[in-house]
Amino acid sequence: MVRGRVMPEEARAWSTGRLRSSEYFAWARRRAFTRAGDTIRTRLRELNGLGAHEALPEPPRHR
Amino acid sequence: MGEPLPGRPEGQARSRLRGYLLAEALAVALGYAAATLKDGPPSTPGEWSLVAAGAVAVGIPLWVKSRREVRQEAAARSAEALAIDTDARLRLIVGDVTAPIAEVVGRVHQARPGPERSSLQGQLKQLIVEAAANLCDGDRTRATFFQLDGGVMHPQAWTGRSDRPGRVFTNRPDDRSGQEALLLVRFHDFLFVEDVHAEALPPGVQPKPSSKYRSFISAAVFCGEQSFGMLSVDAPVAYAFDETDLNVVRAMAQLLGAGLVEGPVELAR
Repeated sequence: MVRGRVMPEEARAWSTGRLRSSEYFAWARRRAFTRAGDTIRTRLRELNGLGAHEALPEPPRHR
Repeated sequence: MGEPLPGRPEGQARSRLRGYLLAEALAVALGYAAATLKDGPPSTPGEWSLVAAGAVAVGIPLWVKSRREVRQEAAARSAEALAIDTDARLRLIVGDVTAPIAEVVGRVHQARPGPERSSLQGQLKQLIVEAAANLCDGDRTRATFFQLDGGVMHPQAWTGRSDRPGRVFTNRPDDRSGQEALLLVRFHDFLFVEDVHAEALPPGVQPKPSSKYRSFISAAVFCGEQSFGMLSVDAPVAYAFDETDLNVVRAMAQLLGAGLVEGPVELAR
């Protein structure tokens, strides 16, 4: 089961001007790449009967 | 997206494959040497020639096979990197950008007309240009929203390269590119130019000699019959954008149009 917020706090911070776009996009890009890498490699490893996960980056600090 | 992929070190997988190939070559060489020496070492030039020819005959298929495997490994790594890049981009566009911007569009329409709504619309314009500049792949991309006001378009929000967009599009007879830009907005079109110096462009689309961009995407910002202006991304290098960037700009322009539209909206209470 996976449960989470539709609007993550970091996204809300960016959309309300509490987080600079450079910081938000740097973090979002890192997170997207990490998750995408995990998803794609897991799918590839499933074909070979293996599995792996990587740690997600810490969210940026905002006001 | 211009950043190194985090995750598995590529050198590790490559050295493992090379290790396997080296072990295979050693095993074959050992087997060949043992088979050759079984009947005693060669003593005549003819026997040495035979041994050398046999070694070449064994070595060539091994070399061809190892080269093919290295190429296949490289192709597999490229396919994996491409799949990760595509998946990451989708996550970024849909999850990290569209969702928060759509929420701001909703808040614009929840706000009463007046200062509160204007403030949210200003915030939305800035979010849209930040999203467009960050999502489009170009190197040193700049995104600008030119707002249509009284038949003239001024830069209202921008981000990216440090040079401020100074262009104002008018309908004056001597402003040919201004007329083209206003027509693009009027007909709710987009324009994607990969290289302003290489492509045959209509006179009005030619940039000024002092312009610092080589490629750009412009899209009309509108909702229904109302036109609000033009969203543009540009980069100082040719071929900076692709079709995905075009679709990102179109989507951002439509989201902005949805947030700027004014009408007889009654909130259900």
